[in-house]
Amino acid sequence: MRPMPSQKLDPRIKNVWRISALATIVLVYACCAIPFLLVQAFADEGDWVGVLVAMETVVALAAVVAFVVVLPPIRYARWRYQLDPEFLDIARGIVWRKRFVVPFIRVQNTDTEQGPVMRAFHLASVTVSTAAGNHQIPGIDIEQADELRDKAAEFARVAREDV
Amino acid sequence: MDAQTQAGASPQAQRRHVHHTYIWLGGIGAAFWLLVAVVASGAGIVGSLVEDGEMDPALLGAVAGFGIFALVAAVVVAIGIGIGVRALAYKHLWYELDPSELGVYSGVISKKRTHVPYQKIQSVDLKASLVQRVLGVCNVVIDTAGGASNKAIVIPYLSKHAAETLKGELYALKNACTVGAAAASPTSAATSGGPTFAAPTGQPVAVTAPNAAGNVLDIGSEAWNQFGGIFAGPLPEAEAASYEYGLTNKEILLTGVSNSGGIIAGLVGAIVAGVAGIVPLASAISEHVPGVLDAASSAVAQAVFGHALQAALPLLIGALVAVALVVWAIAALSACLQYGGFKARRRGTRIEVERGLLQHNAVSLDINRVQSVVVKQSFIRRLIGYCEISLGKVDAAEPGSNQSNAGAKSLSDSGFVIHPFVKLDQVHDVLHGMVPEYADMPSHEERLASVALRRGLIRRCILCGAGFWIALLTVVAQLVLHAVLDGPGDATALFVVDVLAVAAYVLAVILLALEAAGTVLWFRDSRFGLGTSMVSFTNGGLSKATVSIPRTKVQFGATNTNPLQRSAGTATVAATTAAGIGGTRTALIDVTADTASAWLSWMEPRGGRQNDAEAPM
Repeated sequence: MRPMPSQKLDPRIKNVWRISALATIVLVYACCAIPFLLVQAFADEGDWVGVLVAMETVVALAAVVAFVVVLPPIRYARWRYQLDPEFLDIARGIVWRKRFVVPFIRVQNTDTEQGPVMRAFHLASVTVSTAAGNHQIPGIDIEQADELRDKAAEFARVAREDV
Repeated sequence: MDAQTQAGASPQAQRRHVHHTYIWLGGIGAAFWLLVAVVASGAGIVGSLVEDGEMDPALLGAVAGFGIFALVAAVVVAIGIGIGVRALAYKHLWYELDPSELGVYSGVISKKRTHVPYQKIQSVDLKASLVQRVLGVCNVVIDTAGGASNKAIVIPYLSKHAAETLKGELYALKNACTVGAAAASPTSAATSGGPTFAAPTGQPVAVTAPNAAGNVLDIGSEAWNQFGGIFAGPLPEAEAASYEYGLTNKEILLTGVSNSGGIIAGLVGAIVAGVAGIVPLASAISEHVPGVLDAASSAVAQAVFGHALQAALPLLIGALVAVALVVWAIAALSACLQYGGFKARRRGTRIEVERGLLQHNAVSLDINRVQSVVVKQSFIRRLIGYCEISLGKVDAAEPGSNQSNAGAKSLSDSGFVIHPFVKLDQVHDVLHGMVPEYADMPSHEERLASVALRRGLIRRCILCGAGFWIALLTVVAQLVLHAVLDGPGDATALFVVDVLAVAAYVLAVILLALEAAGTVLWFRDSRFGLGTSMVSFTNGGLSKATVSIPRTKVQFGATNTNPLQRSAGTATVAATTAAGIGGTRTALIDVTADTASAWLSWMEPRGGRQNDAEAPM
């Protein structure tokens, strides 16, 4: 069997995932629950409003447990990549596990990107684009990301056809 | 002296305008819908006046006369406006051949400039409607390989002479640019991949096409070629074709019959006739249970089981069948006309296909833009041993349409058909003649893992199976309705429900049988091949398709596993090319895990040579 790629992401990416998941859940929960809380405070509609808010809270707590506590370490463990001089090998996914091999001769451009949360943790993502889609390596230290991007761009530039 | 005159020539001299039919033919077309609206409203007014019948005949005649005069005046004014607008647009529409790109300039108020670098041009198509063909003009559609963000460029109403000249010039400039770029940087990643193929040198090989004979509709297309069209002009010298073929009578007839939606129309007619056949059954039952009819339930039951309808029933079924046959015949005839005059040839680095007896389509594709080779067999073609050959190419969104980035669209709607109906044993010859660069198919092919049959049956017949879900939903609906409608007056409604349920069960069984047969065929015929320079995915079933992708056109290779596959030791292999809009993903489900590993190793550079060395003989 083919061995898994050797490189892992930066461990701080777990915190980035946690924070963004928490922010999304809190926002969605606020949008769903606050109107009903207002209704219950200012107009007496009945018991069902309280039941609904309780159900939403349960769902939100379950989502928090799943996406903030449980998933990030597992996701981190299964995210691997390897930068060979001639191709990029990516393995990711927990339940549906995917593996990609992208030869550098097909790579058109390479980019780095960081949102505000990633910038706070000094991380960036590197994206490799082909004519039919992009592949993103999400969480790498900024300096290493720039190095990775430069290496990838250099490999893409000097790659030769192999047939 | 020439250089001086060229340097002194004004930039205006390089502008090329379209043909003058743009003004009046296009103007009539533009005014057509306005005319339709005017005529419709006028006819409506006249019709309502006549119906009222309260008018004096003499007055009616006067009003009618005035109405006709007003109508004619409106028609003339509409055409005049249309032509006037088009004449203004004509002055502001031209194209130029700059050193490195083609520029198309249009627009009176909002000026629009489109520039296409010659290197990006993928295919140049000449399309002509019937009227355009009679006049010898056509529209030139230029496809680029830019994907969803780059739309195709249309230059309308060029005479055939100007269009063929432009096409030749574009391809020549494109080849010159490509050769120049290749010399400058040997690793140009500008194309979507692969070495650029130059035109084959030397004398063209003698045409050994499967059927240079042609078919009866070729007489019509020959007549068109002789006639040429009123404004066509002399056609420029074309370079010799290295491989050329047409369709025989049998092939064109089979294409028309099987390609047409007539199959679907016939099926629909048969289903309707079948459903209508339930009515005599139900009315026979109602005769033995007269009380059912007496119950004052829905009027629908009365109408359906009424005796009057029963008497006319055979006539009704016969009429339905006849209508279905006529629809099928018309669709088949139109498909035959669409493929009349079919000719495909390889000319230099271009693959050219032209077809159409009334409307004419001449499409051409550069060999370097071919992304994959697809050999497809629909169910009918499988039965008689024929298939359809098409090439995958990068598509651009049509101008004026709003197509989103489709991502993983299947190749069934896009693709460049180079032979609609060819015998399987001739596919090899056709591919070697038309696309010899991509005719080296993998010789060693793997079958699916043995557990794929069980997994496929569960997936296709139960989880995704239409028959299974229809049966399930019908059972649930029947139980629910029986529980709900248990009053004394609901007997007829329950009867109707039961009859419909029986029909649904029959349909479900038929679908289930078809899906099971399809899955067995899929398991038996699917293959995955890794060759020196190409990879092939064969997906069998009731219809079968083989997609062969050159190594240089696979953008990336992937394997997917879900937990069930991991425990069964299988995986899904997929290759993504740049074909279609935004890319196409070709996949095969449930190959063995070893094959999946071999696929990823093959994707690494020089993996093909290693694979060839290890392939067992």
